[in-house]
Amino acid sequence: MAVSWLSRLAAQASVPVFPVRGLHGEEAFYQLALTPGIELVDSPRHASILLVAGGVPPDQHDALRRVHDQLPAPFATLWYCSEPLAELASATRLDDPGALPGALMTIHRELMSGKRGSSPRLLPDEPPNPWEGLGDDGHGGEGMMGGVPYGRPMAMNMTDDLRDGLTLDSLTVILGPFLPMLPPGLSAKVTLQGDLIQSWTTRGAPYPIALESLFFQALQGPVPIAALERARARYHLKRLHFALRLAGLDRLALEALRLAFDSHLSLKGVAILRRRLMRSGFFRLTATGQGRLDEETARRAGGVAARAAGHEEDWRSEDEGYRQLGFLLLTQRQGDTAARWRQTLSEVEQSLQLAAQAEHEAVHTQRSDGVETPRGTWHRQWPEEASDLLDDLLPGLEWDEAMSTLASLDLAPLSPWSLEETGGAPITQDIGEESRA
Amino acid sequence: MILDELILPVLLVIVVLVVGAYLVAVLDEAIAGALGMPRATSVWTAPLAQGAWLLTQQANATEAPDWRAWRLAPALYLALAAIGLAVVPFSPTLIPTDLVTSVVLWGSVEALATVVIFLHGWSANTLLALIGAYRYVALGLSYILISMFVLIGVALPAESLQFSQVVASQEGLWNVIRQPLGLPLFLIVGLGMTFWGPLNLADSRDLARGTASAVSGPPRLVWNLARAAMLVPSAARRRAPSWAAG
Repeated sequence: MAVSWLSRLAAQASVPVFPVRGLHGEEAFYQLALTPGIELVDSPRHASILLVAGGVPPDQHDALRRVHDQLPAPFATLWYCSEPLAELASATRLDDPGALPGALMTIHRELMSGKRGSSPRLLPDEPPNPWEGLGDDGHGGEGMMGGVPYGRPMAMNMTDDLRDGLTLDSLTVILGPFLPMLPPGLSAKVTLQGDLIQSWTTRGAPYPIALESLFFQALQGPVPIAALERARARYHLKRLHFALRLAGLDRLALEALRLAFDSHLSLKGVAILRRRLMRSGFFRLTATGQGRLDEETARRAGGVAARAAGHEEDWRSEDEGYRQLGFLLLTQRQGDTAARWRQTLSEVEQSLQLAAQAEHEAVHTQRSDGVETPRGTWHRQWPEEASDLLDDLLPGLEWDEAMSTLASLDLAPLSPWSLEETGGAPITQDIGEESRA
Repeated sequence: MILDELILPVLLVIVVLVVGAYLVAVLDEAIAGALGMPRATSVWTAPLAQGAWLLTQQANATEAPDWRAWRLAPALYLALAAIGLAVVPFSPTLIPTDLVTSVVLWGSVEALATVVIFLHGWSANTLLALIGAYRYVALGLSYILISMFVLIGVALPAESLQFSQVVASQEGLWNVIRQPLGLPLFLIVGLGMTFWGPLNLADSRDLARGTASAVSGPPRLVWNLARAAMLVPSAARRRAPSWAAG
């Protein structure tokens, strides 16, 4: 009786969902972030549902199994536009984005009422490094410094401290590909001393990101500049949402996301967001001069990162349609994290200004041999994948600086498929309006 | 004697702690709702439903944690909140424990909180929890230092280390007027010690919830409860002068 009363009460809680962002799965989570009753949590330990959105390459299935097994019972999985792992063939699969929130709530209720059993464990319950009963003292250690006492090699300081001479023990770990604060798919071998990153070796590149089909159409023929610029603003606002959420500024993160999904996205809304960002101290928090890209690295990163470091590279200045609108190339000088966000926000505002003007004058792009994507110039070749630049950029930074630097960089390759082809609808006005209601 | 000096004060502390922690959680939900965060359930039932869900969830394990420390840390943090509350003068006559050194006791609660929070992150034996623990130690020392100045600032005019005397010393002039910086600084310390709102750096999102990143089920419920409960004595201490003037 008491248990059923507790379960009924538990079923009323917000549905805690741990997001696994697979290939082209990002869009599903924007929708869920704005849905009342769904909570996207940061640790698998805090979830009752593992939501895998988008495909996961076979070589990352083991990593996915490890994330799966970290959810405490009772828990379930939901596969959105994704093929369940072979062992979970009977798990719920869904391809309709509209049905996603309802399905999550139903699964949570069924778990709490006992109608649905917990997902089975996929990996044996044993430590990755066997230690029990081994070694000289039965704890896995051998000799003075050898073996794996209690499952870990002895933490030895093998490198010079990069910061203050406080030589804490080094700890080497593998991060990703599903760590929520990293770009989806990115994995790295990282050595830390305390919260200081000593070394970073990128092992797996981020998944390709899908752009709205307009950017592909711009390579086939003229497209309305108004629509193209609004699509660019939406892309940057979604990235800003991610960075603000990571910084703990949840309210502003949602505001950025609502703007991104607002079909009447206007300059006024972005101006309000900019004021609130200034007041929240977001620019001051990121303005520590960290994550500065040198000239060559900034050029490789392309797009906003290149312009934030002073490179005057923007395909729009080559296009007669944009010249007609008086397009002015914006740049920053510093090339650090704060400069990239200042550049991003300025470009969002500029895009909306251009969109309003282009709509009034019905201006289209004139050149179809290239397009300035939000990720960089696409002329003859796509913007290149540049995640290996992190190997030199992140060592020496503290954890929070490294994470905010990562969030400010857009290093993933571009997908050959558009957002519409991969199942993510570009504008869902309903989402923004529902959440406001 | 036992009833007046032991049972009633303990009951009072427990009731205020539980009701206070619940109200903190309700207020947190209400503020989130007012700021436009999507919310489906009522602010009154949301904390209860969240608590019920945590009670039904399995308490997980990590690889070779320090079990005793890991399970004890949330309980110790809750106990520190209770100790802090035990020396709060609710009215001229309603004081659970009117120690002559209550100001010192509160100072020690703040210092011990640093130890307990570090223990919570360190004993899980996982990376992000450990970084959260390191982060709090660095911050906790700063919070303690600020708090010491505030506490000395109220003890000097009262010429006593007893909170009831501190309150009585404000009969003529409130400390908030005598030392206007004390209140905002104490507010910052309160939020910092419970890593709440903008000062949530030990259990922050960039660490997947830091010291709590590897905790689930009932231990996480105790941790959440303890964090909310620790705000109660801080808040109660700030409102105490109002009855002195009355």
